[in-house]
Amino acid sequence: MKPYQEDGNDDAYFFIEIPYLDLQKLNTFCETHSLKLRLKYATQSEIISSESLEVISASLQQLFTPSLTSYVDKFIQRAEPIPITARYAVVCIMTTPTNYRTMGLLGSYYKKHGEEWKFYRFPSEEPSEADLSQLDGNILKF
Amino acid sequence: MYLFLLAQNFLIPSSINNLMQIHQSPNSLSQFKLFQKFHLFYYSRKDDQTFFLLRQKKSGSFSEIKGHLQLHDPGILFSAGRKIMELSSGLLTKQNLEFFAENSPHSTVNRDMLQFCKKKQQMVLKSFLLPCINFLCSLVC
Repeated sequence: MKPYQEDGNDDAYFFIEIPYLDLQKLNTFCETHSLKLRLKYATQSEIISSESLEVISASLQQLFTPSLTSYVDKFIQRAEPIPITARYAVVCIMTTPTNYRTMGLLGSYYKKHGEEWKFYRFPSEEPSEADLSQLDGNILKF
Repeated sequence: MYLFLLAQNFLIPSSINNLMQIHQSPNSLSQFKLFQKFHLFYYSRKDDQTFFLLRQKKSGSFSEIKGHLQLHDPGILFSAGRKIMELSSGLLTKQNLEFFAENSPHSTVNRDMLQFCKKKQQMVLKSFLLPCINFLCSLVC
């Protein structure tokens, strides 16, 4: 997941890469099982194009500001690596790093664009001295 | 520099105590942001092109998956997981999507293969929400 955040607003943007889907199969499955879900693929240029206004919602078109467009071009389309701004260790005590609550809570509020977080299951796992020397900080989760 | 603790009032093992004293966290880590809305984009690559997966709204036009932070959710990722659950009955999670991939060995998909619940059952089968949230939260790391 690639989070994108803008200073000026309180919206969170998440980009999740998935395999290319057979949408005919997926849409047919939804129809067969009475699911009101219809999906469609569109490229960024199709989304932004004024000719797509009837197909693409106006709010989505407005979302693609120059800043978001530039982010998508660079980090999603060209898949350039996001520069790491900080490295943190999350040491989970008496719980597991795969506990969705831990990651969901911390990720929802604290993880910022460009930060790298590594989870450790204490006491079986803990950051080595080499790891610690590269870290900008620790988070202890009880 | 100071240590940032998420919870207190526990006995702290000595090795962790050392970790706390030696390696502390910068101010920037304690700065948090309360997100009120989310925009979730699934995207796929094919033939050197990037395609965004859009869903059809009631108006007929297509848009990204978006929503607001629900007051009963502890964070924005939980609200996003709930939204995926509501929209797709759990269909849009990683393990399910693999069956619908273009190069999937499964030419047909039936509901027994999927972690999927029909809308009417959602109130009963709340546990189906877990794969959605777990899927999103696992991507945070």
